[in-house]
Amino acid sequence: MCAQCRAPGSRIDWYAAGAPDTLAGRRTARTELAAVATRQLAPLGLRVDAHPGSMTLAVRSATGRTVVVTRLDELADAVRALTGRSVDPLEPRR
Amino acid sequence: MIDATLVSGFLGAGKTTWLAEHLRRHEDGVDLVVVNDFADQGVDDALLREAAWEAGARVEPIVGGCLCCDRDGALRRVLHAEIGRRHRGDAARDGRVVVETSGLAEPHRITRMLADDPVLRTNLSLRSLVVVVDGLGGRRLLRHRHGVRDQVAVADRVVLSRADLARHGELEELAATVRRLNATAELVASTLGTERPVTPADPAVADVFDDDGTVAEPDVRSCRVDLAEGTSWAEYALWLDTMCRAHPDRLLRSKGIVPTRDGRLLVQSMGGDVATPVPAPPGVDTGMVFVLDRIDPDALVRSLRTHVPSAGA
Repeated sequence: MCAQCRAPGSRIDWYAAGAPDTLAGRRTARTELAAVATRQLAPLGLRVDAHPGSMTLAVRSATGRTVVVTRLDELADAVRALTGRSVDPLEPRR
Repeated sequence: MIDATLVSGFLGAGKTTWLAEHLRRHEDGVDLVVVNDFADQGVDDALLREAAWEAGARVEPIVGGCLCCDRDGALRRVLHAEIGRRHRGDAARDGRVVVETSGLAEPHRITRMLADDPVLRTNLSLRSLVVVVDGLGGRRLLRHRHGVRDQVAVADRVVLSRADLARHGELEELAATVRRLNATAELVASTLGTERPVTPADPAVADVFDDDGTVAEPDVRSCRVDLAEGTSWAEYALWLDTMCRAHPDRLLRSKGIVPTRDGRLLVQSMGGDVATPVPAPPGVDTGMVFVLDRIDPDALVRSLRTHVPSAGA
């Protein structure tokens, strides 16, 4: 990334905008995101939990360090904070 | 005589959104809208069809390449046919044609083609060359893509899109960068096609244009992936977010329909940015079109199938 430019990324919670606009719909979307993110981040030793009653997601490392996020686009920053790495979907899964 | 308006701008700048609103508001009427998609299967023509129908205009899609090079013959044929149609008919007023180029097109080559062709030169006058620039990511593109600077440099009118999402002063700084590249173009800010004036920041914040077009030779290709009914929105969204973050300069554009369990969503990304998904309009095929620079389409499809298993084989 160039020093003049801001980091690319969205300013809107576009994941939530694509989910049904009901309490149940938002809860289901959050639970599904936690499950999918856990699967994706397992090779990095991370787990993502969606606690019932809370609208946040908790990203946990194997040592128990936790970063709480509220939006999908904050997940990548949490992964970087916990592991110093980022995910590239074009790299073959190990 | 036919008045032509050329609408250009980089991939995902907001050309189709602006044009749809322009067609709805255009009181004089438009006869023909030519829509060009770089990908083999276009999405824009389907999205524009309703607005064009309301405006009483026909939509002519030209897909699978840019109007300025691969498909310039197709544009010439469409415009010649329109001229012939008007000559045969009893035209009560001048014709009006709008041409929306693909995001990768070089508009100056199209204007040269309009001027060089004897039939077009005599029967068609270019009324306005509108270039749409993404109000959020436009400045980064202007700094690093000479093709975008070339588009802005030849514009009569520059529309800065997505004005509602811009932070305080951001559009004015972008307008100042545009003004540096084009001293005479009319500048407006646009929110979903609704325009308002914008004044360039003074003094302008300096930009370093560090791409002369030879640093990395572009290798732009497109591919289309069909997604199965009931594709998981969580899987697709997480994959798209990580792709856009990992390769903002190489996944140039994605646009299409994700048929989720809760309904069909029109989902678009532009470089590192993802637009708000909206319910898909009827008549658009399920599937996603990707425009890639230096990414093997097979690798992208493999990645999508791995990370979004619900999208089907």
